[in-house]
Amino acid sequence: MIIIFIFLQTEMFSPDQILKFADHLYLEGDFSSALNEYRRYLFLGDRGIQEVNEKIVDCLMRLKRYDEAILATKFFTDTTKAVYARSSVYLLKGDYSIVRDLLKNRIDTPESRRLIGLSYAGEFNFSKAKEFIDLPIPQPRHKSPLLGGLLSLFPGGGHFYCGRVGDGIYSMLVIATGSLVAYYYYHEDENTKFYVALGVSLVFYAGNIYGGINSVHNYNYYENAKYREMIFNNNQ
Amino acid sequence: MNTINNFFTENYSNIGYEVKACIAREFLYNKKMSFIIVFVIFNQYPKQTNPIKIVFNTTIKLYQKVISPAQGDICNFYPSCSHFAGEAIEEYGVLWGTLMASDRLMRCNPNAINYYDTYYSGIKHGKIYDPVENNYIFSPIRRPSDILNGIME
Repeated sequence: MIIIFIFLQTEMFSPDQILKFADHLYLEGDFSSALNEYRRYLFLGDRGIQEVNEKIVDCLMRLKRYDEAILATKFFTDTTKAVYARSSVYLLKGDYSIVRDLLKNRIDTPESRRLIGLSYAGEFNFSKAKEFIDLPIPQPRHKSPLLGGLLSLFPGGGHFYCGRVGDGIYSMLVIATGSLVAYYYYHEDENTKFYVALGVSLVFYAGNIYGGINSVHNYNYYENAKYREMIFNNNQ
Repeated sequence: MNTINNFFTENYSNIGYEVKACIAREFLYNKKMSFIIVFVIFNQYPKQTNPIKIVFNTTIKLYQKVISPAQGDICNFYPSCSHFAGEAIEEYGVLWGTLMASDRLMRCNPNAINYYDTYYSGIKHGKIYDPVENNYIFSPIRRPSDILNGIME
């Protein structure tokens, strides 16, 4: 009983200590434990509820628990901040149109302009995003899928065009081997084997052209994604 | 076993033990193979009614059940090339599926790991993650928004 009495006299379980500990965990990057401590503080403490709720939403966003984060914004006392926090969560979740729907009535504030611009950038609509935020100067350089397809008429050309030298050489080797086998059987007058080898070579040749166009699409997507990442980093 | 013994006594009673063992293996193997073929075809029938897709699926499934276990886990990608081909044919039809599968087979080379973070969607289950939907040329969605998820960290 004496030990329990002494233990209860300490400040270990006071709300202020819990909040201090939660902040420490947050700074350490242990967001899961910090989230638990902030929730414990909400149960015991009564000061700075708005700030703690903001921290809870932040922790949930960092833990990628977006649906819970959206629910947690409902406990904000400041409705404007709640809307911005909810928009940020939807932005991270990838629901860009919902971000714009939420902010359509507050389009004049700098924070809404930033979030709307980022929502357009998330959809790779950089021309529209430029109306709301400043974009980094080196714009993404795209390659032409048509040119990729045309270059693939020479086996591996589309892959070379996108800088995928290894894939290009491999495509070239596969198609050249198939064609040589087909030519060999044609020379030996073995019709069935010739047609089988020719068919396989043609399928791989068609796949090579398809792959040339597809690799250009992937290249353009990657360039856009890199640019989007740069925009998001600049506008955090 | 009785069936196999009768089979030997009737047809191969005068030949040596090793030859008998060899024939027994072949007999059992063929029986297993026919069972696998029948199983594979009938297993997909209620869901799949397109005969061309059944032929392609049967070929892929036979490869997966007979040849692939002998080769081991050698594909660079997740899903593996045969699963990719099956999914592509199922989702986008025989024409696009065949093109996507042949492209994938040519991309499955030792050099593929160099592009895991640029042209592909990272690593999943210890392999390069390259789902079917990232390779359909008319699809606007190329890969999950993994870059976006990392921006707050």
